[in-house]
Amino acid sequence: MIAKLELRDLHKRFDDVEAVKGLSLTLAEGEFLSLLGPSGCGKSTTLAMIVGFLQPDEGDILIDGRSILQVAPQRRRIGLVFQDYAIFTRLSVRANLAFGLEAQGVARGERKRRVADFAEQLHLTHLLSRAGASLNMGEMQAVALARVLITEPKLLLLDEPMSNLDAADRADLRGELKQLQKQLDQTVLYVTHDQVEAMSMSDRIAVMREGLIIQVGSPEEIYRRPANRFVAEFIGDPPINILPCEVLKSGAEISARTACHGDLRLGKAEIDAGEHWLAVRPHVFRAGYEPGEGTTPVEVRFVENFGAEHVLHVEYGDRLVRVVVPPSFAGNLDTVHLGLDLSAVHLIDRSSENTVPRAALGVPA
Amino acid sequence: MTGQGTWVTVVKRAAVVLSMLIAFFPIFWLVSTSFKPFEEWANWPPIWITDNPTLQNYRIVFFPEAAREFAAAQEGSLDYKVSGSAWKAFKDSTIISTLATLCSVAFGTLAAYSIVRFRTGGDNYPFQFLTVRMFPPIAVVVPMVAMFSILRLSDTYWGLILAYTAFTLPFSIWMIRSFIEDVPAELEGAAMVHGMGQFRAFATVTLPLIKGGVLSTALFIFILNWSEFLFALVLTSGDVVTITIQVANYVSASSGKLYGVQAAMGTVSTVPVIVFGYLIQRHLVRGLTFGAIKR
Repeated sequence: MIAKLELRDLHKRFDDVEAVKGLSLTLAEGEFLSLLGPSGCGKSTTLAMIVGFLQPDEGDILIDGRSILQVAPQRRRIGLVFQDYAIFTRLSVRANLAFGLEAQGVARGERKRRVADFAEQLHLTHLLSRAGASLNMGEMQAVALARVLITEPKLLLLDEPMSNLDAADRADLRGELKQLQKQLDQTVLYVTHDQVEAMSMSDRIAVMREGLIIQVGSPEEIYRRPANRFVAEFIGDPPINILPCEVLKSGAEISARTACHGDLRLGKAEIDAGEHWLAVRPHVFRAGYEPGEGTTPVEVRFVENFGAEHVLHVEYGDRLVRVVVPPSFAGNLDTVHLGLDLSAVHLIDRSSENTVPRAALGVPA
Repeated sequence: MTGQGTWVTVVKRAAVVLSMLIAFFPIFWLVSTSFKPFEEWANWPPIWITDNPTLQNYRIVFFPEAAREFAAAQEGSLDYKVSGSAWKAFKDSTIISTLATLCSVAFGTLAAYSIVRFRTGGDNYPFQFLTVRMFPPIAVVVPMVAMFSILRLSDTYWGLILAYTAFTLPFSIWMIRSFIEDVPAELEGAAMVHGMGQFRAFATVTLPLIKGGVLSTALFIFILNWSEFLFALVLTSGDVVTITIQVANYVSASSGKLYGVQAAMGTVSTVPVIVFGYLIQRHLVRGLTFGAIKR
C-alpha cells in the first residue's frame, strides 16, 4: 500500500542552525499521527515544508507516492490549522468557510450549499453570520478546523491547535477531534508539545528532538517501551523518576542497586557493569503500610492531591521520587514501605542514554 | 489638588499653547500676507492683520490680465514669468506629484512585501535604504542634471516623476514595511493553503489590512513631492513648471520678492494636501503611528 504521506530524509538549515536533520516518516491513509516534541525541535519547520511554505534543502516529500516538492502550496491540497487559527477577522464565519471553495473557483450556489451542509454537520450553523473578529478562542478553533475540512484536503495538518484553549475545552476537543477524524477518515498529522494530546488521540506518535525523530510507535509502545531517557521523561504524567543505579553482572544475568533498593534482579541485558540509570514510572512503585519482600521504608515529604489519586514525594537517597497512591493513602512525614514492579522499570545506559532491552526474568525481550 | 500640582499643570498647558503658536504662526502669516495690499507686505513694524484686505494677490496668481496690469504698474520691471498665470504650475505639480506618489507607493509596497516575507537582501537591507535617504540630494544634483540631459529627461514630466520616485522610495519601503510586519504571515499562509497563489493571497488578505498605512504613506510622500524645490529647479527649464518654481518666480526687479503673491500661491497650494488628508483621515491616525503599535 502506498503511504498517504512520506517524508524522505528531510533536511532544513537556517543560517547556522540545522532545524531538521534527516527526518523520515510515513503516514498511512486515515491515520492520526502526532509529531511530539519540545519547542524548537523542528516540528513547525517540518510542517512548513510539508505545506510548502519552506523548501527542504535535501530529501523528498511524497503524497500518494508522488513528490510534491515542485507543487505550489495552493495546489498541494494539504489542509493546515494554524496555532493562532488565522481566522479572517474582517469576514463573517460564512465567508471564512467559503474562502477555500471560492479560491478553488467553486460556483456560488454550490458554495452556499456546501457551507450550509458542513456547518450543520459540525454544529456551527449558529455562528455563520457572526464576524470573525467576534469569536472566542474555542469558536475560532472550530471555524478554523471547519474552514480547512470543507476543502476536503488529502492530508490535514494541525499545528498546536489547542494551545490557546483552556483545560476544559481541550478535554472536550480531544474527544471531538478524534471522533471527527474517524468519521471523515481523514489522515491527520498533529503537531504538539503536549504529550497528553498526543497520547489520547494518536494512532501513532513520532517523538522528535533536535531535528530528528527519536521513536515512532503507538501511544502504548511509546509509554511502555521508551527508546531512551528523553522519551521516558517526555511521556507520562506525573513524570517518570530517573534513579541513579549501580549495575552488577553475574554472567548474563544483571542486577542493580539504587540508593534505597538493593539486588534488583533485571534478567539478561547487554550493558556494562557500573553506574547507569533506572527509570521508574510513579505508577510502578508499590507503596504499603507493612514491610514486604524487597521493600524499603521511606519518608513522605509532601503529597500532591489530584483527586482520584495522590502523588507522594518520598525521600529516596539524595532526591525525591514520585509515587502514585490511592487518595488519603499517606500524609506528610509518614513512613511507607516502597517496592518496585521489576518487569516495568527501564534500564538506561548512562553513556548513550538509550534504554537497554532486557529479557526480564526469563521472558524474551 | 495641591498648589504644586496646579503649577505643573499651568506650566504644561502654557508649553502646549506656546508650541502651538510657534507651529501655527507661519501658516497664519502666510494666509495673512496673502490678503495684504502691496504696501504692507514688508512693512515695519509688521502688520499682523491688514485693515485693507484685497484679493489682488490671488488675481495675480490666477489671471494673466491682472498680472500684466500689475507688471505695468511696476513700470515693466516685472519678470516675464510672473505675467503668466499659475494654472500651468498647478497642473504640472498635480500630474508630477500624483504619478510620482503612485509609483513610489506601488513599488514601495511590492519591495516592502518582498523584504518582509522573503527577507530579500538580508536583515540589513531596509537600513541600507534609509542610509540612501540620508544622502543629501544636493550632492547628486550635478551628476543627475548631466544624466537627465543625456537621457533627454530634463524638463519633462517623466524626468521629475522618476527623480521623485527614486528619492521617496526609501520612505515608502520603510513605512509600508512596518505595516506589513503587523499582518501575521499566517493569514496569507491560510489563504495559500486554501488555494490562493502568493500574490493573490497578498492582494486579498494583506492589502486590505494595510490599506490605511499605505494611504497615509501616500499622503506623506505626496507632501514631499508637492513641496519639492531642488530637483524641480535644476531639472526643468520652462517647459515644466511646478508650484514651488512658480512661487520662486514671483520676483520683481524693482521691488524684490512679491511676498503677497507668493503667500497667495502658497495658501492655495496647501488646499490639495488638506483635502487629501481629510479624505483619508479615517486611516490617518493609525497610519501615522508608522505601524509602531503592535496588537
